[in-house]
Amino acid sequence: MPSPATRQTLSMTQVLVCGAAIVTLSMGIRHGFGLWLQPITMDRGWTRETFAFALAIQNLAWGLAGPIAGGLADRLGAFRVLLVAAALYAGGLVTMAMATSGLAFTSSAGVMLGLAQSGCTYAVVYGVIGRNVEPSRRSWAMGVTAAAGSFGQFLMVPVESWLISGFGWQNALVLLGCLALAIMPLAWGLKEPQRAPTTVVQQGIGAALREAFGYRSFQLLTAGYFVCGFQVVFIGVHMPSYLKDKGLGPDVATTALALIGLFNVIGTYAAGEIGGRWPKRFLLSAIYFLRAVAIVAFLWFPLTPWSVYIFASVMGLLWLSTVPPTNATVAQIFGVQYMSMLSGFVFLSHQLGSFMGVWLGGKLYDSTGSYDVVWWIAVALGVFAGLINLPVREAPIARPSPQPA
Amino acid sequence: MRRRESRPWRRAAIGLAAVAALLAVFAAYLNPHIVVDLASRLWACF
Repeated sequence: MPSPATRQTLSMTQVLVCGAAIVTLSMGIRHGFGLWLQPITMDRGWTRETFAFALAIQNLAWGLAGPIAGGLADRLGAFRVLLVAAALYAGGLVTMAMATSGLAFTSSAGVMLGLAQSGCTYAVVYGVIGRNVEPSRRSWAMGVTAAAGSFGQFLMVPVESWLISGFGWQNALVLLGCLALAIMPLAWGLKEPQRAPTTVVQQGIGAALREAFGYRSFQLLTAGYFVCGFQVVFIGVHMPSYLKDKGLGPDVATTALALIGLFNVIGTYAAGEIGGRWPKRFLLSAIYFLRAVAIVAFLWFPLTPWSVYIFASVMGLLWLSTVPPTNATVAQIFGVQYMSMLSGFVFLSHQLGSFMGVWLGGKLYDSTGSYDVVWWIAVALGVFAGLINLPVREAPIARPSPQPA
Repeated sequence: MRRRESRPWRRAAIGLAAVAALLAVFAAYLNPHIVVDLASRLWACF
């Protein structure tokens, strides 16, 4: 790979506009899938387990395919990966609408959409940002893109609710499939110029993986991201049920999810901005500690609609704010040659945490009759993640031969 | 030079547009039809 000084790059505005639009679509479309539970299970006569199993497979496929999609994007360019991912996204949504068996539904809503998401969300787009935005503005640029993804999640829930009500659940999925195809023209904006031959020695994939997994700071970042996934998905999935158990109405849960979505956009942007000015390890530590404090306060104070709204707003600010500083730190330590692949591995840890958050939430609720134990696990994990991010070394890793920043 | 002077205005305009978009989407969540629709779908999950 040529040195950054001689490499031809894309303009930052182009990368940000196209990258943000792609992530808005890819993160937004999937976010409202829960709205299809009722119409699909009623229409097809399936159990909720069939639907939930497909979405669980989707999340695992997304996490497991992430490093592969990232590795392909690093080697072949994000453009090609985005094209395939957009085709899979559109195809997955259309076949999800047509699936008449549990297996077909799991293959489309689970496997196809999980693979699609691995190829058109943060890891792949962040690789392009890393290679084309100067290091001093990288964290900010990642914050802008993450905020766009958060906005997509916030926007698409009411849009998808409206589509289902207005066009029926099957047509709504087909319309979303057409919308997913818009990723293809946007991918042109992330098509990087061919890299010129260089005399700089390149690192192989195996060496990059051995280096990353043997490096203490990468292990700590990965462990911290597991906690992020656990907390966010446990709260997102189980909080409505928790509020119902405590006697609060469904309108409180809906408003709480809207507030999380609103403040999530602000929080992710702010995290990118702050990460460009302050040491990112301190920012990540603060986010995890504040999450623990917010959960303790939520459990401590009497539960009212207003305590729920305040908790939702604070958690919204901290929701995906870990994304820009975590990925910017990976780029800062290891450079950008394998950034998408390494981000994919860190994200795999996030998805395993998400799986544990959903599963353990339900499991411990069934065995203890309340969510109390899981809330305190979330607090303990927040403190743990806050502590392990403190010793992360953000400086570029020392190598025998120089790598591009 | 002129470009630099216009930057704060451009930033302010982008910021205002972003806030307006966020408030518009938040208002959609408060629409009675959407509240009822989301709440019934959400509640059906548990």
